Parts: sequence; C-alpha cells; structure tokens
Amino acid sequence: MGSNTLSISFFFAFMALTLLITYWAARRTRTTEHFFAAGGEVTPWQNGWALAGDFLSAGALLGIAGIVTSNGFDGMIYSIGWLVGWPIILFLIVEPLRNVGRFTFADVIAYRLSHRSVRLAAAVGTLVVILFYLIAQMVATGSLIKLLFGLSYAWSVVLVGSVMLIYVLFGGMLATTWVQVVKAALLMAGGVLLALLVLTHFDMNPLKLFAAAAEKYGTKVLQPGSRVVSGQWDAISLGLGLMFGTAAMPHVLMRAYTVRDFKAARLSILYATGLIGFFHLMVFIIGFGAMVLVGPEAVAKAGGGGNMAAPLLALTVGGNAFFGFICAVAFATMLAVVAGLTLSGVATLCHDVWTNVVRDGMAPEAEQLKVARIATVAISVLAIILGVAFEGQNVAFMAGLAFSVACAANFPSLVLAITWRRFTSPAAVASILVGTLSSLLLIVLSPTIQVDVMGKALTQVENAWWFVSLRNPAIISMPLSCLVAIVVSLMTTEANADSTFAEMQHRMLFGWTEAASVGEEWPG
Amino acid sequence: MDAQTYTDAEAKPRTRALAKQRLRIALGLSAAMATIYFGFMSMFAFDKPLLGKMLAPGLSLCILLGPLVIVSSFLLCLIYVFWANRVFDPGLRGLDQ
Repeated sequence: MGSNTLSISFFFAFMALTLLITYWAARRTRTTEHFFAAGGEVTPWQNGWALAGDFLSAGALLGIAGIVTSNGFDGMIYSIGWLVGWPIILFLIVEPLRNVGRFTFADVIAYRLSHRSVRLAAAVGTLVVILFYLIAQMVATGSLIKLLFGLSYAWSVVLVGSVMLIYVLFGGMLATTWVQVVKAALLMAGGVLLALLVLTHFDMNPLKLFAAAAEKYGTKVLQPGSRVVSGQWDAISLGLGLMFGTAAMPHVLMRAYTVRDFKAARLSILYATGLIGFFHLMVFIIGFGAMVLVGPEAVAKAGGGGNMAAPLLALTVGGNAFFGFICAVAFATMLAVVAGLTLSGVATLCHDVWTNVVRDGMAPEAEQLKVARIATVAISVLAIILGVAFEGQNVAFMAGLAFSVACAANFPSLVLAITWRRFTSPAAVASILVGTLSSLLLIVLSPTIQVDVMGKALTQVENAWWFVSLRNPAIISMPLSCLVAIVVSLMTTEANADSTFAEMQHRMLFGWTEAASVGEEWPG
Repeated sequence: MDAQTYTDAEAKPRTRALAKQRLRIALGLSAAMATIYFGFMSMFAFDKPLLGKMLAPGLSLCILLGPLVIVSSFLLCLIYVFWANRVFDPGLRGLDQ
C-alpha cells in the first residue's frame, strides 16, 4: 500500500499545481484569441515543450516500453513512426498554416475555397480523428488508474474527464499549454532518470544492456520480428499512416497559432522534434531495461496489456518513491493529452462549425467564447460517456484509426490547398469525406474489428469477399483520397481560382500584416 | 488589398524565385525524410534477415539504423531551420516593402 499512497500524493501534488496554473490562466483568458491560441504569446521553447507534451501520450512511455519489453526491437517501429511526421510538418505545413490560418487547419483549406462546405467537411474529418483518439486515451487512462489506484474504472474516467474539463473550460489554451509544459518536463525528467538508473547496471553502455537481453532471451529480441506488425504491406501501411497522420493531427497543428509568428512556429517544431526523438531513444532503453531487470513474464503478470513495464522497472531500480513518481507522471500525461485533444475539438466546433458555418463569420466575440465553453462541456461529457462505454477495447486500434483517418482525410487536402492552383471546393469536400469513410470502412472489414473486437475466428471471415486483411488502412485510403481530390478538381472549376491562389501564396510568405494576425478580423 | 495587388506581388520575379526556392527545399527535404523512413520500413517489411544481421554482441543492424532514423529526422529539421534563418528570412525581409 506504501507505494500507492506515494503515487496518490504525487498525483495530488501535480493536480494542485495544474489547478493553480488554470486559476492564473483563467484570469487572462478574455477573448477567443486567448482561449484558442493563448493570445499568441507562447515562446517557441515553451511551445516546443507543449507540443512534445501534447504528442507524448501515455502510449509513448507505457505502451512502447511495454511492447519493447515483450517483443524487443519491434517496439521501435512505433517510436520511429511517431517521429518522422514532424519533419514533414516543419517542411511543408507549419509556415503556410501559421501565415494563412487563425485557429484550425480548416482555415487553410477553406481559405480560397467555398468556406461553408469545405469547413464542414474538414470539421467532420477533424472530429472523427479527435473522437477516436480521445476514446483511446480515456480508455487507457481509466484502465491504468484502476490498476494503479484501485479506483473503479467508471470513476477513474469521470475523474479524468472532470479535471480536464476544468483546465480547458476556465484556462483555455494558456492553461492547457502550461499543463503540457509541466507534464512534458516531468515526463522527460522521469524518463531520463529511469534510463540512467537502468544504464548504471550496465556500465552506462546501452550495447551491454542489449547484449544482456540477447543472452537471456536470444538474439531474436534484437532482430525484427513479425508479432507487433504482421504482414509486409501492413508495415508499409502503418508507416504511411504514422508519418502523414502525425502531420495532420488537429491538436498538433493547432499549436502553430499559439506563438507570435511563423518563425516562432518553425522553431517550436524543431524543439519538439528533438525532445520527442530524445524521449523515444530513452524509452527504448527503458523497455530493454524492463526486459532484463524485471522480465517480460513479471510485466505480463502485472496486467494492463504490458503497460506496467516502465512503472515496475521504476520500482526495481528506484524503489517505492520512484514507482509512485512514474505512476503519477503517467497519469499527468494522460490528463494533459486529453485536455489538448478536447481543446482542438472545441476549436473545430466553435470556430469552424459555429462561427464560420452557422453564423457565416459574423458571430460576436462574447458569443464565440460562450459557444466555446458550451462545446467544452459537451465534448467532455461525450468523452466520459464514450470512455465508459468502450471499456476494455483495444486501445491501439482506436489510436491507429485516429492516425489513419488524419492521414487519409486531412493530409491530402491540406497539402493540395497549399500547393495546387487547380484544387477546387468539391474536390476538397470529396477527398476529406472519401478519406474518412474509406478508412473507417477498411478498419471495420479488417481483422482488427472482425477478429479482435467481434471475436470471430479468422478462418470464419478470411474467405469472405469483403474481408480486408490489412490492419492499417492508410496504404489504400490515402492514395484513394488523393486520387479523388485530383479527379474531382480536374472535372470542376473554382471561381477566381487564379487570383485567390496568388493571394494565398502571398499570404503564405508574408502573413496577414506586419503585426501578425492577433486581433485582426477574419474576412468572410 | 484587391486581388490585383496579389497577382502583381506574385509576378515580382524575386518574390516568385524565393517562394520557388523554399518549395524546392521543402520538397527535397521531405523526399529525403520519406526515402530514409520508407527505406528503413521496406527493409523491415521485406528483408528481415538483413535488418537482423548481428554486427557485434548486443548490436544488430536494426538497432543501429533505428536510432539513426530518429537522429536523421532531427538533423533534417536542423538543416531546414538553418537555411530558413540564414537565407529565407533575410530574403523575405528584403522583399517585404
């Protein structure tokens, strides 16, 4: 019980700190500019940490470490996949996004296209992505809290949902940013300390650690296997989904707007890439450390689908206090990621759907803020209900689904809107909807749903004409979405395409005005 | 700020050249990243024995290359930011009048 008391006190210390931050931020959150973009006042260095905080979910520390512990090298496929999208964001997306948009990436797609229909389609794509990712995080959180603190699953979900609601509702983007920064710093410190403690057992030489693992469990743990990712094309498809899905995740893209200008946005992506890459290298050591020092059998016995590898390792190398600290950090991580996701969902509902579609850009500031807060409550309640309803579901498949949808639905139209003059509104709508629906359909017909979720035997479904053997849909749905975008563009024409494209190119270079877009009216 | 201004702005050869240069570099670096990553993933998917080759005790080819993919993504970002700060931003300031 000693370790539980400690983790609970660490956890409450973290909550108290973040609620204090929220109280401070709430007094500064007066406009939608503050609520969604922290007034553009965040520095690149802080934003880099916040991006890392947004992106490093509990899956990164607990999930990947667990996969490495039980499968060896293969866990790294996820580490790498979740990083390689960041350079793509930096090279292709972040600067145009910052210069052209205001709160969401739909701003960019809708900029020179028909506002309402494109925005609505982009909102559908975004909300599907956010909802699946949110469910994945809620389910992971609920089951982990149940495991760590002995609270019942439903109450765990309600607790996380309520705390997250407070951050977002009162503190908006400013509070969420600072919660991310604090959490990312804790996560990073915990990860580095854990990795260092592991390495002290191996003369600070990772190769000795890997050699010890190979000696104990065979060289196969250092070699690629096929248990984590089965199927050759599935591996490529997973890679596609992770790389381009990352580059189109709404809650990541939203952070292009929290800094002063595109130069600051560019720098924050650089910092985030460094931090996330470094952390993933630590996780690799932690995973192998848990394999050698704790043992995959003990990790599997602890339950939670292997997620307990990192906390158990902390217990072994650092004692009860460190175990409590790592558990609290994992909890803080989930809380922060859920808050970031909720905020981007709220931005989509309020800024895209309400302000720009329902009110056609004419909503007064006070009304927008009110809608944002109602949307926050609605999304939080929805997240809690779905989190409870989806108890025990395979978390990886919902997270994977979120990335696949982002990759197929959002990425093609985002890139085409920026680079292709002939791109038209019907094409954007068609591409987003085809990307979303085809990803969903392919997942429903894949073994992930048919075998893992619905419990059918593989032999029972594998010969059905509709069966899709790929678990990762991106390799089909992303090219399909691109193809639809190109074909429909060539069949339709956009009014004033040349002049609006030129105008957008100008904006992409120079931004709104010298004084950036803060407080400026949104045209149309 | 009518559309005419923008068409003019785009037509300015120096602006156009700078925008083109940025796009070329962005696409080139993206292609480099995709080549590195999908090269690695293709080996993972289609040639596991090669990737599993042991180079030294505790070091297989994939354990060497995996972290290298991570490091190279950061280095590519660093190259872009250096270029953008050294060449692109000053060039942009020169135009923005």
